[in-house]
Amino acid sequence: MMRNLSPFASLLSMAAVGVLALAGVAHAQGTIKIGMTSALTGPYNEFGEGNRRGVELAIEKWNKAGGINGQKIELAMLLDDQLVPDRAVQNMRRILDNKELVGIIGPAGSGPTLAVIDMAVADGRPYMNPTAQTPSIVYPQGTDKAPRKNVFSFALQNDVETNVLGTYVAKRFKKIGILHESTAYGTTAVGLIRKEIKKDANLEPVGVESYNQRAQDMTAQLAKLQRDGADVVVCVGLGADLAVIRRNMSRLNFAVPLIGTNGALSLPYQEGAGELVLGTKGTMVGSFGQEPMNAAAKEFADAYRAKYGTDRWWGNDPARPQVFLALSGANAYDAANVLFEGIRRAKSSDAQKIIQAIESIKSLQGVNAQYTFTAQRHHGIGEDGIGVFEYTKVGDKIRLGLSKD
Amino acid sequence: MLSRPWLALLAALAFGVAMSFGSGSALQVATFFLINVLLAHSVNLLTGYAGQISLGHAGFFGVGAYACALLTRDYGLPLPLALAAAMALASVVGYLLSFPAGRVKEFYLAMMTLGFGMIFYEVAKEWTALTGGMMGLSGVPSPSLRTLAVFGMAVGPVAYLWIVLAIVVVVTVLLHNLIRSHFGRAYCAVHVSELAAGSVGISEAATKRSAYTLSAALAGLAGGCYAPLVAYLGPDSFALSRSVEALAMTIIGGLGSLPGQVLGAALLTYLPERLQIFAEYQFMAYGAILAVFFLVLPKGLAGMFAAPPRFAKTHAVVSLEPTPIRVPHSSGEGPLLRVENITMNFAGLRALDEVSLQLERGRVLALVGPNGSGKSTLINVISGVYRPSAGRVVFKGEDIAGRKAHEVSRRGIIRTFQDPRNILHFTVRENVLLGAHRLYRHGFLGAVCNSRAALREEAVFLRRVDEMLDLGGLAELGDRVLGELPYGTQRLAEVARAAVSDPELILLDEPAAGLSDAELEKLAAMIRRLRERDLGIVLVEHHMDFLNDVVDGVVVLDSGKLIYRGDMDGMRRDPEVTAAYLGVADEESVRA
Repeated sequence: MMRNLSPFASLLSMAAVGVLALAGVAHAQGTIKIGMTSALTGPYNEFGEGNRRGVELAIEKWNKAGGINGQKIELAMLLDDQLVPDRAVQNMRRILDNKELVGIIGPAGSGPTLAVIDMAVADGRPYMNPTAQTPSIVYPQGTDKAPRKNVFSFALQNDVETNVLGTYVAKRFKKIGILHESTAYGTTAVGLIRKEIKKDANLEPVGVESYNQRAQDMTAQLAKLQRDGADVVVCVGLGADLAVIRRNMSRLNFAVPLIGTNGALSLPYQEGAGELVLGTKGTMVGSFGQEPMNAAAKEFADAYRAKYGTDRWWGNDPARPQVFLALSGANAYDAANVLFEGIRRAKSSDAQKIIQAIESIKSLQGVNAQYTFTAQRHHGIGEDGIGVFEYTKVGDKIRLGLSKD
Repeated sequence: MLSRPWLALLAALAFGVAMSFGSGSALQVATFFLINVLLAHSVNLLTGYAGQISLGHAGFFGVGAYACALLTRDYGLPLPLALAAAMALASVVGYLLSFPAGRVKEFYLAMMTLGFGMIFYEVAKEWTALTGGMMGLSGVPSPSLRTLAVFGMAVGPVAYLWIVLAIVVVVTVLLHNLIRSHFGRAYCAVHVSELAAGSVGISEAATKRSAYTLSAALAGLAGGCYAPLVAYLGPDSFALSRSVEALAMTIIGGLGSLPGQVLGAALLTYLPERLQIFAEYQFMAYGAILAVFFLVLPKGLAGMFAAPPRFAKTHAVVSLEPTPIRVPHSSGEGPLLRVENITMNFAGLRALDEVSLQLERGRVLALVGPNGSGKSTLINVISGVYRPSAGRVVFKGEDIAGRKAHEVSRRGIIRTFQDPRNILHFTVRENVLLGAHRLYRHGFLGAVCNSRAALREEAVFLRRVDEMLDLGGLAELGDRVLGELPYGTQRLAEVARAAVSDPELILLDEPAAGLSDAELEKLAAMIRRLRERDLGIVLVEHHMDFLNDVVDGVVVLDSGKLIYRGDMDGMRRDPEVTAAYLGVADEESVRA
């Protein structure tokens, strides 16, 4: 019988596929529902899984306190995009199709976020960006122009981070070498750092080199910066790559300070570079580095430890979370809290009203910052929330603390 | 009942209707699925049929996507024109890539195409002025943002699905026709045996070029459809993972099967979404499913759910009354073939030493000699497989020494091989039809559209194939897959393949080896029929009884030298031949 099948019958299978695709989703009634897509699995789930935990901790906190105006909150749609743009687009479409969802938490990286952001804006429901650092996600015409109307960011925005980094190195070094990853994040950051050191000290970097994420050897780029006579290496990239860079520097005997963006403070960097981390500096949201931590940070840390224990995201020190948790968990926690606060103030699930309510928030204490939003300002973390951290040795233990100089 | 094409079209229609009532996300995923079908078709054409592995298809896909995005967004080109341009641009890239790619094979080719994919990714990333670099390209007119219009009509997600569905249906039908034409058979021939392809007049280089060009055009079309769907393009969408995914769809669906591509695309589009229930284990589940697939379904989904593909338009014979086409033989003056002082050296070994012979039309010349005497080498020189070190091969007054095999074959010199070279997944009929390749006159358009002229031509050659199958006692086996049949049948099929090509000179390299007595008779019948057509035949053979019955003259080679020229009786009496050859010949003919 199979023999008689024409290849035309191939198209038959489409009908079957259609049935498969139309399967529906069931919902509980009477709750406030939000949707989220993030890199929950796959090679890049460091941020995505942390974000999910942050959002769930925020929901538990609110629900324990009785929900929003008596209604419980539910993460009704949680989808995995594995940081793949196509999958993020498909997930976002599913989320936007679900008209019951009141707010959206976006993907954990710039690539997929850029891919979904136009859809989310066209839809108009409040969209929280927990991780993607590219400023154009919130401010498509430039940071001094109007933000996308329904997009609020809790990421350490590139421009904020690089302003701090640029100011710091411009004050202390003359021959600045820059090494950056070739992503959207990396290339924008470099432009901003150049602008900042030009403004502050009228300096041009002596060399700018780039590398692809996950490259296993950056000797060529570093040797070039060494020849250029750099007296500092400013690095924009992920922790794992930074570890390769640090090891290559050591092999080249390139003994100048290494100052990185937040990746320098991440666990993969510490794991990959080992003892070599000593002396490395990095910019980061200061929340878990301050002594004592602010009340919201303490509350989050306690809740996290109670639920997940002192795991990878928490770090090595059982007493306090690693500073990096600020961007791999606390950011999404803050994002969800601000969304819920907006819904509470709006007393409505109407998108427009929630957005206006969020724009009315002044000095709300979160883990990572005191949040203030206006119709013009849609990013939460400003320069005042950022510190420069440094690895030092205390006894025989390596410690990460706010830089002394 | 399932065999009716309209039923399949109905299924596609049902899919479209079902999806039209689906949610926005069901619509969107369905459109992704359709685009993946196009992409899988593209990979399948190049890898499944023409056998050229590609790990760089994301590059072609990306060229199409960026072209369509920029043309619709910045130049306001209507979508149909932008899609055409995307196809054209991608096909140019594919055509250019085919030149370096044609020079390498297998792993080296895989690495080379991988390199191409990486270059495209880097260009997309670095050429910021054009592609927006890592920040990507936003604001592509899109159905989901309601910013897409075609000729003034707004196109929403539903309309867009129908547009892409129509494209997929048309492409599938055209590919179906293409694969069953002499173009499709040529892809398979180049894949399975470049020697056999050359022997029937298929140019390996040109066929590969056309496969690359066409495959790239399809990938470009898929990319062109992709751009409006997602409205945003970033280099990450065209990284290695997409090339790998495209190849996986094709292999899982079933290499060389059109329905397989639909199934493979469906699986890889819908599976990751369905696997979300496995939460953090979904990546593992995905990997496990892929691994198991290759274990339990080596032929892919198509091996389980669809009939094996066919490569001839056998319905043409039924549907059209053929008017015979004759290829006129020029009745030129002088001998048909003159081999003049051919010498062939292989790294110090002289395989042929100043060999000369000549053959008239309507004559059968036997070429005999002990093993290693240079018989097959001479066949290879005449048929263009080897370029001789010195000497001339004059065919109908033209020196053809050193010409490529397919060029020689197109002039009317057809050969068979010492060990038969057939396409084992073709039926006997399809294999024999392959011989007619050089005679086809209808072009690409006629082939994909099944024009009347194309079908008529196919019908004529199929008739001729049937005659030859009758003669060779293969009529019953015409629809059997050749790889499942005994060795003798494969030999006879190869001779039949050579015979239907309407040759003027036919070179048979040990056609009788391994044949049973019954099969030998069929072979002799075919050879006699060929002789009636006033063509020249060169027969390499050890089987003396068989030669006795069919040949007019004989030439004996020994260690590359010609030692005898004359008739069979004369050969038996020739002392030099006896010394060099006949001592072992009796033994061999017993074995044969």
